[in-house]
Amino acid sequence: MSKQKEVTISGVGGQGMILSGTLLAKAAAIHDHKKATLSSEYGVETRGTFAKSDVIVSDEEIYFPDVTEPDLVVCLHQIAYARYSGKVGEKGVLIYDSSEVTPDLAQAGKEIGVDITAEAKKAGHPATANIIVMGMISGYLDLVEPEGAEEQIREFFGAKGEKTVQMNLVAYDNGYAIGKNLGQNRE
Amino acid sequence: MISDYLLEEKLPLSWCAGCGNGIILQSIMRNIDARHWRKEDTVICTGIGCSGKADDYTRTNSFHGTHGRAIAFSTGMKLANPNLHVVAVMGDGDGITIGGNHLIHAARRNMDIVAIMINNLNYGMTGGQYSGTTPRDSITKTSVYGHVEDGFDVCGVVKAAGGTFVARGTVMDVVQLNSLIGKAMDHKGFAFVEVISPCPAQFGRNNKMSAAPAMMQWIKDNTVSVAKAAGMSRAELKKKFVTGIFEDRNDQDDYYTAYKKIIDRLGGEENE
Amino acid sequence: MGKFRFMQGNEAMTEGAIAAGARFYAGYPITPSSEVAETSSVRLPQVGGTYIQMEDEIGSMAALIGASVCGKKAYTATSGPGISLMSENLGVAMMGEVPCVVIDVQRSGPSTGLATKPAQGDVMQTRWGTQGDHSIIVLSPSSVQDCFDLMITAFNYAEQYRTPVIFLSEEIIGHLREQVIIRDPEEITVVDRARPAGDPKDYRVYDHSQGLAPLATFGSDYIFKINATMHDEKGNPSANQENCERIVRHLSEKIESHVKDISIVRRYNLEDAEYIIITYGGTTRSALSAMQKGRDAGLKIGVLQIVTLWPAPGAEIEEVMSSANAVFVPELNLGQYISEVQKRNPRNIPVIGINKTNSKPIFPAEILEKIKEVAD
Repeated sequence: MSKQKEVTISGVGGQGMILSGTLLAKAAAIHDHKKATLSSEYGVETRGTFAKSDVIVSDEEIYFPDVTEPDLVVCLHQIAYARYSGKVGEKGVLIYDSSEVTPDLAQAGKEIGVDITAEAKKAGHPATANIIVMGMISGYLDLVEPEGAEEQIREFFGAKGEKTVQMNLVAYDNGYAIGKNLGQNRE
Repeated sequence: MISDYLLEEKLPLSWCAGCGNGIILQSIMRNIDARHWRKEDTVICTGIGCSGKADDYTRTNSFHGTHGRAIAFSTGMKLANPNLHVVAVMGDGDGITIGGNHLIHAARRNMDIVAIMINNLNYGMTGGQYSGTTPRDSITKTSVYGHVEDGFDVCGVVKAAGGTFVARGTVMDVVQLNSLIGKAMDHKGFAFVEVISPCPAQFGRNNKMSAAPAMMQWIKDNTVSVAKAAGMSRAELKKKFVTGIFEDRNDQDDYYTAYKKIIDRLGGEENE
Repeated sequence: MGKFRFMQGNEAMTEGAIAAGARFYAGYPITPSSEVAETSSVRLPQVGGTYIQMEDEIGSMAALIGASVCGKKAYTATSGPGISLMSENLGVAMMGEVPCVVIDVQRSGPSTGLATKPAQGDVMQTRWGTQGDHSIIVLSPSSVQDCFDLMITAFNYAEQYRTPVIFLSEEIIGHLREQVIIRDPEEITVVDRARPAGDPKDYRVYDHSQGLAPLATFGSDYIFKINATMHDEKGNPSANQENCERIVRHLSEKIESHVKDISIVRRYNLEDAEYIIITYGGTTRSALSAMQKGRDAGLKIGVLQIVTLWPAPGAEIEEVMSSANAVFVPELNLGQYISEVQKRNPRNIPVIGINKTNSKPIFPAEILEKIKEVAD
């Protein structure tokens, strides 16, 4: 792995991509003392049009904060998938939500389908999908230390009560296990 | 007494013969004096137009800004120093035409400032074009065929917007005018006084009232008290100047009093 | 040491303003600057300050100036359409010599443009947007840390030079989230405007014969007039020709004669650089990335980052122009700042603009490609 890791989380507005990205980047910066950036792209509509967040984590200063050489691209919606399928570069891998995306068969092998929607329901609520994604990214790329991720999840969901915190921690762990597994298979 | 407040070296006033602005300026200054407002704690804030010359003559602090924005400048002043006495002096162009948005929002917020709008029914300084208060059928430099719009009932607008003190006077009744401006100054909250004032040099000249007395007489003849207006029909009140107090209530915090409660709740130090 | 935080550029601007002593915000929300308004509405009352959402940007700019003459450090945040509406009253701050800070988080233009997309189209508007001759200070951040640190500088300049200062960011940095140190008060230098001393009767708010006149406060012992119309040293209206000439020249010279003190640039690898990128704002990040990649490939690339866009740091630009083989000016517009470089080019070296207005940032590869074209 190079010193700099680049991830794009893409979908449509309202899927919580900025949150997953922010919590990861924050964990990397605050707990792991790495350099981290989160930049985002979205439309004027809060819901429904293409949106993405780019997370970069590095041991060194990060200059350009948009992902140009992705290690991982996550697609949570067909619109996003259409943008990235076949365009993730040499080292990049694309993971899509198999409940939301109908994949291009020509890309089979280079892309991985994960039923993120189902995993979220399993964790307790469909809204945990972005935390599944957060865990999955971290597991796959070994991006942030688990303590830092937990710290961020506790901080963000704390006000909503321990039950919500626990549900999201479960989502993170489940996502992490999926990511770790995919990463190991790849190596 | 008046020289305590007016810069004598600036006199005589630059306004035209027959203009009502001098009467209004005097009324404002007499009322400030009667209330013993320190000049240091008083700001006269003006816009652009004939009324915008008012601050030239005052010994108080003054702020001469842009056309129509006196209330917005005043808002910043009052919020930055709630102990200041802020008097915005505007014309009908400033107050309701280009600056109408600030007027209605300051009224809605109950911003604790005194807003005096001198209504001379047209744009005097720029040569007598129509404004948002020019009456229908009037002749102005830009309505030579007769004006096809109605003018605003500005007091009606301010009252509807939530102003907590709203009144109208004319320069033809100085006793009433002094009383209205005084009450506005004593009011905690947004206090609005519209003053109907003659502009013989422009509006008068264009409407067969070029002699100052003729224009003054016309205002007098068309002035109706609030009490009398109550018994008149809408048609009868058309083109009449209804004078008196339209709103005077103290049932609502002024903006900063309400905002200060938030600061106190949060424990912030004021004027830190 | 300060507090280590991870936050958005817009949020750090609010923290920087508060650290600089700002206690008044008047504004009208507009993408992509709205987070400055939102965070200011939360933070200001916590420190005894006041947030007000005005009816429009015209009123916002007016309220800012009103608050400042009453002694509060005041700021607002907007984007291109709002800057257009603020322009007239920006002139009041200029002519009235009232300190304040205006944040412009640029979006793609012209007109309403694309609200959520980055651009750098307001570079010339912030320089010349308000009518008449004047000089203005414009600072441009390239990181979230800058949003904090440079905001303090912006207020310091405003206070020191009795002038409005524009903090010109863009969607790239405004919405970027990264680490930032919120410095402790003892680590920060805060400049407050000079206040008059002596007999209030002798106070002249616009008498600059002994250096920049101090600015009193409405409500203090000093009575004065602020006047946006041509005025004399007391603030009385004046059409005296000599006076008019003096005032207009003063408004330019009070800034231009301090270019050296106001200029902030950052130099990266300029010592041996053959190809130099002159850049500003969020595009600096693209330039530095291109420099790094280019250096890895053996190209001697350097970067001159212009932090003080206006007044233009002429000496620093000239220095670069005397040593480079070619200069590259990437801008998210059709070439607004490049003329500042071109007019300081005695050796007539190639000055190459890299311009983009498709709502995407300039990618490092796009800069590198241009450099390679020249290098080959």
